[in-house]
Amino acid sequence: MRILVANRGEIARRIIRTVSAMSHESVAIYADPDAHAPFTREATRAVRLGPADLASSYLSIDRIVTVGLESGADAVHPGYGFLSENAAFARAVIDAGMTWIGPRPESIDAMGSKIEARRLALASQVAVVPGFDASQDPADLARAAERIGYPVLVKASAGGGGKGIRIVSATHFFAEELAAAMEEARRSFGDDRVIVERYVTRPRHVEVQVVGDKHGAVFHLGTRECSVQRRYQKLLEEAPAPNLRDDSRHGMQEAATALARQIGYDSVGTVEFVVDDETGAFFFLEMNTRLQVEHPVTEYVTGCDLVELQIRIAAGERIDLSHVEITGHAFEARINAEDAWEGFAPQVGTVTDLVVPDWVRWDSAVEVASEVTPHYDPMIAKLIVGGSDRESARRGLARALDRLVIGGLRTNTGFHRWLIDQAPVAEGRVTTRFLDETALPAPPSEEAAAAAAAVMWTREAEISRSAGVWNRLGAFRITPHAVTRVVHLEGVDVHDIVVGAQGPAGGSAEPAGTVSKDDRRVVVVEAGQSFTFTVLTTTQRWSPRGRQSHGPPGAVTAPFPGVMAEVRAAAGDAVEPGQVLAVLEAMKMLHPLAAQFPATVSEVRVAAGDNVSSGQVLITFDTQNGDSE
Amino acid sequence: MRPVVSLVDAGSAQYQHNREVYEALVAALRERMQWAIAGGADRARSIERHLARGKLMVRDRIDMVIDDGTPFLELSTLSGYGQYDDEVPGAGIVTGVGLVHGVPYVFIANDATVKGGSLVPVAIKKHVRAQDIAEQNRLGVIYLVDSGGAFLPLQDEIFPDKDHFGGSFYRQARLSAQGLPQLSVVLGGCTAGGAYVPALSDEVIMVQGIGRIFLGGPPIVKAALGEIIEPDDLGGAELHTHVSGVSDYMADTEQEAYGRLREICETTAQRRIVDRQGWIDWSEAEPPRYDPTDIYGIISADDRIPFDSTEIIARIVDGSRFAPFKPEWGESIVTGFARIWGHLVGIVANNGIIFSESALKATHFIELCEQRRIPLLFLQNTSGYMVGRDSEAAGIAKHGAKMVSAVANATVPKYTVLIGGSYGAGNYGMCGRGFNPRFLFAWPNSRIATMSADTAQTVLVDIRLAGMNSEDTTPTHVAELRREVASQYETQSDPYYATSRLWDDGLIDPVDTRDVLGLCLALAARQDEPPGGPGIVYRM
Repeated sequence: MRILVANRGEIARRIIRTVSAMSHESVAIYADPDAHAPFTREATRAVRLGPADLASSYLSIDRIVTVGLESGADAVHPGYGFLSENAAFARAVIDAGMTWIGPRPESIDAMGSKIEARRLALASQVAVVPGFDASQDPADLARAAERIGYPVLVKASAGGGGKGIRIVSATHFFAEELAAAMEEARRSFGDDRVIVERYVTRPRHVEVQVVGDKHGAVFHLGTRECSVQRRYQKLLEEAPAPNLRDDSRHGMQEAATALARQIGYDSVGTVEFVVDDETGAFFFLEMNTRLQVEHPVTEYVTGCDLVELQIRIAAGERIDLSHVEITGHAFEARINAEDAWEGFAPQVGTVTDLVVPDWVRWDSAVEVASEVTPHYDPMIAKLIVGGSDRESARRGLARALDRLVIGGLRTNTGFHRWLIDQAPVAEGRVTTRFLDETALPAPPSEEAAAAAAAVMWTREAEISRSAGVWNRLGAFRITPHAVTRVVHLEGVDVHDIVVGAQGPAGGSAEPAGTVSKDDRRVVVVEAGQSFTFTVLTTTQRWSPRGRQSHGPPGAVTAPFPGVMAEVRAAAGDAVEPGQVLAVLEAMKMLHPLAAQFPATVSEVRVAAGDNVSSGQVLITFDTQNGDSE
Repeated sequence: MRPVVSLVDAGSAQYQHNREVYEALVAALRERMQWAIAGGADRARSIERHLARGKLMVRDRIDMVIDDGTPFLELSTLSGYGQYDDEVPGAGIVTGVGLVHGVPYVFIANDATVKGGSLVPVAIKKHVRAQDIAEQNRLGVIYLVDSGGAFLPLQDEIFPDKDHFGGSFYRQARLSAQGLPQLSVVLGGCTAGGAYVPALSDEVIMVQGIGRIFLGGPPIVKAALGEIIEPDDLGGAELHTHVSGVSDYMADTEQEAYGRLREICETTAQRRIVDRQGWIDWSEAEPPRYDPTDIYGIISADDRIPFDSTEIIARIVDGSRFAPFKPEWGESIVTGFARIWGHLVGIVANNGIIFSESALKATHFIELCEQRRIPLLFLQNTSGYMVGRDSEAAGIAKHGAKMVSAVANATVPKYTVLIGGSYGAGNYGMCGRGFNPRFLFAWPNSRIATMSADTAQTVLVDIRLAGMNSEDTTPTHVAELRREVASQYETQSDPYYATSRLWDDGLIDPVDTRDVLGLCLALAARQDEPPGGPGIVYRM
């Protein structure tokens, strides 16, 4: 079989891996920024879609179907995101005569509509978050609140972004909060309609992996917990969901399979629930009719290959997962190219170094020399670590984050390293509000990282490949004094670290890291965060500045006698280096006098036509701004 | 070349005892080196003042100039030891060889924490010696100048003679003319004569705020002209860089100056240490098979008990491989070929007394090395040439002279290490200081004198008694005389007495010998083939 993988990055690689393992052929498609991405090389063949913009590449149904046909693909795997939950795409693939590796388009349609999904859930006896929007009459809404039970959420129907949302804890606050919510909704959205809904005090995001085949069989592969979220983006997932009451776990698993059966679901999918950690009550949220980003944690605890299942189901095979047991525990940390310590700002750049511990699963979009562009999702990899139980898996993840080295590009590994040690995470009692309610700590210390990097560099610098005693002896001395090694590290700031016999104080013992001697680069892991430093040479670090300006700093003086041909600067001018401030004429030549540094002109002591003598002060600067030092 | 089969028994009581004694010698050496680095009367206060001015320690300065993670071969660390009331550790000057961009340079750096970096007589000797090393090994010189100039109370031992202060300027000017870069960084005062160190340099960097150059400092100006002037106005970096042109570059900090210095060194067009020339026989190095620390147990704690130099050679040379020359003749001198850090060398090592045969064998071997252009290493461990009627009658004087003559005329690079006794004419025949070896190092157990203290007390006392009235020669008086002579010889043959006076280029831990010699040999390997070349090899 030849399978077109209609995706990019880590998920394309992950799918191609299984396709190859099943001895099928793969066709990768790519937009220009991905022309050299690993997934294009790992596929049997790769076809260019077009430029970076999504509409003409990864979101272009026509283009992808055409490529599929031209490349002789038998089937299309959509991955996740992009067109994976687009029923029109599924239909186009099927209409073109190829196999759609996913559920029937009708299932996608049904679960794609929130209202329809909710209706189908209710029809399958699956609880949804109790709510009321049948009337906008305050009395009806108040009665609904009583019936749902406090605390309740009053939120704008047209809502979003947290506007028009009020949490009401008891009856006597309801009228007032309702009025406020309606007013806010009207102002924010021009629509004051609201919904009253059960407010889950300690919400957890738990999901159930379901698998159905084309012959009516439906199975579940247990639960996953995805409560660690930031702005609805999952960051850390695990399987199975910890600390669930048995009735909740079984209830959700049964509800999920019931729903899948109800809609005749015939692929791999995920049913998401919100669970109240206080009561164990769970409510249907939505169903994802595709492979989930966090599927590897389920693969770890079940031993199933979910992509393989998708392909076999699409091929019409009968599936029997009744024997599958959940054993062990697994975590997945989403490694994003973003700086968690600077408001999760997206990062772009080239991966210069990559060292992945050998006891983890590493599903990654990148390798050394991969460029991370601003065009796509910031997730560059998933770090999956399992263990015989939750604590050993968690410790394994901590250890992996301490050893994982990613150079050249800042990622959120340090954030993950902090996160997994937080009590709610360690104890498995995280709610989806955890990150919103928790202040991030100070970032891992760059100073400590620099100190460790300096030690690493000096150690490495002594290992010379050149032959001969002078290159092989390292910092040999016949005297017992501690050899001073000053390592100039350029990272965020320039650090001059003095490495003595004992090494600098404060560095962690044996941190992970890599040294690229030729590129004079050191990457070191401090508290899970990789710091990339360039080691400057003494010459680079202390490159002396040009000193063309004579006379006192903060002034322009005449270099020789002459006549002022022109005076361009005026008091108060902000000037830039190189900007011509005046022109001096001497020996029939015009000599421009330029600013040497950014400054504000304080005084102009000459005018055009003035005769000046050598060394005469012509223009002075405000020394505070124009300090030449 | 086959590995030496060592007969050393590391389990023997003798070995263990020797080792304990030697480890104490090495500990004492380290301790005394520490004294040179940061010890001495009032040094702590002087260091504190120096650092408070934002200035760096002299060895830190060198460490910051040389290539990161590369060796610095410091020379004569213990110069001045036991002299000048022990107030001038290291003679207030640090010299040595280090790499800048892979090119070896001689460093001459004043230590301003020792008497303000002013130059005592031994400091001048050390300065001049470093320049001679530069000339012989064709190395540029980097001067890190921070000196108050000549130590005036001893001006008669510093100023007028051939190899005094004037000799250092004579050498500096001529080294430059030979194409060996002379570069200065001015990090402190350069007064009077000191001003000529930067002034005679090819390029000069001055550090603002600390570097000053003047022929006459403010006190002299005041005395001579009545002018009162601030030191920086008289000779600061600003003045000399912008007005006088005495300096070529100004730096705000020492570090910036070293950055500039390294930049200058990018353009000096010198051979790098890896630029081995064609006449050199070099191959990849191999560590010795035997543990070099065995040397501690091999050298007899009692210097009347001889030890076998071959065992020492086995712990210094590559793979402990040694090809002895003429091993069954003249056995009190061991000669043969080996490699040190890949460099082929001819080794001449003593096993005690030099007899006529030993002298002839050594002469033959030296001629062989000269013929084949192989550097020579002398390991001195001798009580001198054999005396006595038989020996004289056999012509020991002319045979010894052949050896001295061969050593003096050999043009290949020569290196000497005093691993034991260096007595009498043995010192000459075995390439002592007077024979201009490229480098001469000594071990802390070594002794150097015309004769041993034991012999001296007999010889000298007899000579003195011969000139005295019999009534003066009471047994007490004789005993007193013996003690006096023995004490003088013991003091003066002590290696610290020797190294303090720069009779060598430094005391080294025997364990470092292989590395130190390797560094030295590599310096010669980048030079052109020495003049002379193939000559006659006489069968003696």
